Amino acid sequence: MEISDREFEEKVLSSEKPVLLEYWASWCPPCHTIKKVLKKLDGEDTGFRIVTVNVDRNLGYASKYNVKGVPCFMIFKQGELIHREVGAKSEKQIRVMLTEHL
Amino acid sequence: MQHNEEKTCWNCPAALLKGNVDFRACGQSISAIRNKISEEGLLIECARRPDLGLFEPSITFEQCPEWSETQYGYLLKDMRVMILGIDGYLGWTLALKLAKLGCRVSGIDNYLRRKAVAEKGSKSVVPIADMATRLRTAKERFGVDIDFRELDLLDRDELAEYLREVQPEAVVHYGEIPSAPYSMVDAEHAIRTQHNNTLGTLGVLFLIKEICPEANILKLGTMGEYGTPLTGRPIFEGLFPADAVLTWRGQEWSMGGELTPRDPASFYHVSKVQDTFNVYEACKYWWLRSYDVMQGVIFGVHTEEVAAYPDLRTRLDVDEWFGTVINRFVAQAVLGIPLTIYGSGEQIRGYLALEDAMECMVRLLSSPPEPGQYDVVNQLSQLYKVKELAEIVAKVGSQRHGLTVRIQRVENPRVEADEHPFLVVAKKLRENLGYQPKTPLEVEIDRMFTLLLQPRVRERLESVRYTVFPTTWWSGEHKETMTLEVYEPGTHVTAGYSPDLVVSDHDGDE
Amino acid sequence: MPHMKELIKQGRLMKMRSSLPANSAASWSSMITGTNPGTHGVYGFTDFIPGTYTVSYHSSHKLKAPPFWMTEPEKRVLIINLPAAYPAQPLNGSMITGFVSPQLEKAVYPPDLYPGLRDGGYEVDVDASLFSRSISLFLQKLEETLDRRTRLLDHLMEKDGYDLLFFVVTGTDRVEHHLWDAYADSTHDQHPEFLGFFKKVDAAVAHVTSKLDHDAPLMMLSDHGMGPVETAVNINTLLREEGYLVTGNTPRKNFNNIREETRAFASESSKIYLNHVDRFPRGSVKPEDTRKTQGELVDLLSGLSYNGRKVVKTVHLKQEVFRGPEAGNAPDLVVIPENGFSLKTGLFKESLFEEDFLSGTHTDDDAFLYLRGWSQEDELPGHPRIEDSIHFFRKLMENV
Repeated sequence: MEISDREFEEKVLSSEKPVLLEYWASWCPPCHTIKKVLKKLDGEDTGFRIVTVNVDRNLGYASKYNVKGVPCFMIFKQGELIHREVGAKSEKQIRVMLTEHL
Repeated sequence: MQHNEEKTCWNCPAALLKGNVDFRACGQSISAIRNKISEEGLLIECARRPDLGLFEPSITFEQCPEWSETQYGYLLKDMRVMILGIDGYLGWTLALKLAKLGCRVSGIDNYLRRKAVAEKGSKSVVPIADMATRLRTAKERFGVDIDFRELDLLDRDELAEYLREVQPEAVVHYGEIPSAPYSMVDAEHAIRTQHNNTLGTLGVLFLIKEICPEANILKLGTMGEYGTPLTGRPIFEGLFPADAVLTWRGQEWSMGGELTPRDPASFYHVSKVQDTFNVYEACKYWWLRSYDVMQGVIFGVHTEEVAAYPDLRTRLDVDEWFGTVINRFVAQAVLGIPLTIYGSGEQIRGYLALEDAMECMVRLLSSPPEPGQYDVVNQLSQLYKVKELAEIVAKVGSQRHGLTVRIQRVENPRVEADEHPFLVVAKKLRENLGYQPKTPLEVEIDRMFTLLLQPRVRERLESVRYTVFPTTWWSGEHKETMTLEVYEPGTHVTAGYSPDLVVSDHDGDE
Repeated sequence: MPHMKELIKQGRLMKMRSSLPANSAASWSSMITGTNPGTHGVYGFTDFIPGTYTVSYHSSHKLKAPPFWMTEPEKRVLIINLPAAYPAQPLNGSMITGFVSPQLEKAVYPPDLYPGLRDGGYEVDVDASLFSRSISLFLQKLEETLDRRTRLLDHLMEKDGYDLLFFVVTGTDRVEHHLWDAYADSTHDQHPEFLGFFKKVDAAVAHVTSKLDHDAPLMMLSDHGMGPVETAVNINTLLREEGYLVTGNTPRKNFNNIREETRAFASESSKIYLNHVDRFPRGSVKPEDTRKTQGELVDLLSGLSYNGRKVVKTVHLKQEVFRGPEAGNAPDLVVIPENGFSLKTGLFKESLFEEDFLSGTHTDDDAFLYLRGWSQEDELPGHPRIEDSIHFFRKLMENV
C-alpha cells in the first residue's frame, strides 16, 4: 500500500485500475487516524488500487501536483488526476468518494 | 514477536534526519528537491554509527545492533534518558527501573515536592533517603550509575548545559506540581502551579528543539484533562479517530486527528491542558516527537527495584494535597479514620499500580513516535468508582490485617460531578505496545497495608494524621468539611452509572 | 600534452594495477592508506549494512585504516578534490573532497573555507545529466570546474604554506566515460573538443607542478585505466536465469526483495555476495557450501561469451585476495571483465547484454604511476598495485 516516488509511474500513472492515492506525513495527526481505515479498504474489493505516499520522503510527484495540505486524497484514472480532496475523512466519507468516482 | 520489531530508523532518536530530510508543515509548498546522491530516495546518517555512511532509513529495530530485545520490547542499548523530576514518587522509581534495564539515566530535581509536602506539614510516610544516599545505594546494590544534578526546570541556561552534555535520546518530564488541591488553595498557589508547570514545559521544549530534537519526549499529562462529560461520550486518546464525525445542519465532517475537548477539574489540571497545547505546537513547528501520557491515578508502593533495599524506597504521600485516593484510603484505614468519600462517591476514574505505570513508560520509550508526531495515550489499567475502592480497601484491611475499617461520606470540597457516566478508550498501550496490566488492585493494597503497618512507618503516619482529612475547598472558603454519614462497608449499594473501558477494536472499526 | 611529455622525461612512468574491486572508492581508499580493502574496509561506494540487505553509501567514516596524512601529522597538507573522502574530517591543513559529496558544507575543512566556495559557485562534480542535454555544455562545464579547482589551489596557497600538495583531476574520468567514442574516432564531431579538454588538463598539470621546486618529489597516478565499451553485461540477470538469484515483491525495488532461495547476488559492478546464513537475514548458503558455490560461479562466469569473445577475464575469490581485520565484510567473489565489457548489477534487467549509455569503462590493470626523484631505479616492481604507490612516495620524500 505504501509506495515511493520510484514506483509512482508504475503503480499510479500506469495502473489499469483507478487509483486512490493518499499523501500523508508523520507530523499530521489526522493522517495517523486514517491509516487503519485505508488498510481496511485496501483489503476489500473496492474497484480501486489504494496507495499511500509519505510527502516528506517523496518530494518529486508531490511537487508536480502541488500538494500542500495533508491528508491529500487524489483519484487517478488512466494516469490522469481526476479528483482531489484535502482533510480528514471518516470511512463512510471515503467510501462515498470512491463510489462517486468509480 | 515484539511489538516494536518492525519500527525503523524513522522512529529511532539516533537517526540524523536534520539536514537530510526537509519536513514541512501543513500548507507550505515544497521548495528545492535534494536527492543528489542516488535514486534510492532519502538518505540519513546514524548518530551512533557514523561509520555506516549514508543509507536509507529502513533498518528495523530487530535488525539493528543498537536495539536489543528485552521483556518490554526492543530497547535502544544504553539509551540516554533524562528524567525531569527524578527525585519524585514516579521519577525515582522509573530511574531505577531504566537503570537496571541498561539505560544511561540522568535527571534533575529541585526538591520542590519535598518542600511542598513539608509546607502542608506532612512528609513521605515511607522513610526515604536523600538523593546522594539513593544514588550511592543504587550504585552499590545494582551497579548502576545514575547521574543527578540539582536544578530547577526554569534555570534554562544551566539545564541547557546539562542537556548538551548528556544529549538525551529520551526525555521524561515528571517535573511538575501534581496536586489539584494545592493549586486551589489561593492565587499564590494557583499561579505557582501554573508558572512552574506550564512555563517550565514551554522552556524545556525550546531547549529540546535546540539541543536534542530527535529525543522521544514523554510528557506526563493526566486523564483529568478530559473531564467527565455528562453525555457519556467516549473519551478518546487525545485525538479524534477518523470515524468520529460531527453532524450539523445535515452535513458531516470527520474530526479525525483533531484534539479532543478538554474540561479540566482544577487549576493544576488547567496547567496540564496548557502543556498539551505547548507540546502539540512544538511538535508541529519543530518536528519534535512526543507522547502526551494521559495517566490515571497511581497507587501503590511496589516495584522490584524500590522494594529491594530500604534506601531505595520511593516516597508515599497521604496528605490531602499530594496523596492519591487509594494510598490515602489505606493510610486512613491504618489510622482508624473512616475512609473519606467526597459526596456520593460515584466518581469514576482510571487507576493503575506503580509497577504497571512504570511498564507503560518503558514501552513508550521503546517505541518512539515518528518525526513531528504528537501522539497521546490513555494510560490506565482499570476504571473504578471511588465508593468501590473504599469497599475494597476496607475488605483487605479488615480481612487480611484485622483492622476495623469504616467509610464516611463527606461534603465534596471540589467542584466536580460526583455521579457521571464514563466511557474511556485506552487501546494504544495494549494493542500497539503490548501492555497488559499485571498488578491486581487487591495485591497492591495488601502490600501497602503490610508496609504501613510496620512500626517505623506507622509511627511516621501517626505524626501526619492531621494532614489527611480534606480541608481545601475549591471555593477558596476556609471552613470545615462536614461529615455527612459514616457507614459500615458492605452496607451501601453502588448505584448510578457504570464505567466502560474500551481496550481493543471490537469489530475492526476504530 | 607537451607538459606531461616533458615531465615524463624527468622521471619514471609505469603501468599500475588498480584495486580489487576496481571502483574509485576502493581504489582511492587503498591509495591513501597504502593497504587493501581487507584492511581499510572500503569495498565500494556502496556496501551492505551488516546483518541487512540495506545498502549504505560511502562516507569517510567507513575508512578503518589511517590515511597517509594522519600518520605524519606535522606535515601541513592541501588536498583538493579527493574522491571518497566525504565528509571532510579534521586534518593538519585543508581539504576539499571530491565525488561523491552531497553537501558542499560537509565537503570542506576547515569550515571557514565554505562561505567562499559557496559564493564562488564551486562544484564538486559536474551534473551528469548535462551530457544528455548538450555535449558542448558538458565539456564546457568540465573545463570550468577544472579551472575553478586550480584557482582554488592558487588562492589557498597564497593564504598559507603547505608541505604536501594533493591535487586530483576527475574530469578525465567523466569525459572518458561519456565520450570515449569521441576520442577513438577522429571523425567524431566532438573529437577536437575532447582533445581540447586534455590540453586543458595538461595546462592544469603544468600549473600545479609549477608550485613545486623543480626537484621536489612528485608522484602522478590514475586510480584505474579506461577503455571502450562494446556492451554492458547484466550480471544479476545471469544469476537470475541460472537460479542463483530469486526475488520477491516488496514495494521498493532494491536488495530487500531478495528471498531465501537466493544463493548469490551481485552489487556495484563487480562484487558478488553469497547469501550466507550467518551474514544476511534471509541467508541460505551454509559456510561448508561456500567453496562449492564459489566454484560453480567461477565456472558460470568463465563460460560466458559474447560474439565469440570471453566476457570475464578473472574471478577472484574472497579468501585469496582480501587480508586483514575487515576481510570478513568482503564480497565473496570479485569479477574482472575483459576489456570492452562493462559490468552492471541492476536487479531487474530483462536482457543479459544491452547497450551501455556510456562509451568508456574502467580497465583494471593499466592505470599509470609516475615518479620523479626515484633514486634506486632497479628497486621498482614491474606492475605495482595502487596500494603500493604511497609507499613509493614515502621513499621519494625520504630521499630529499
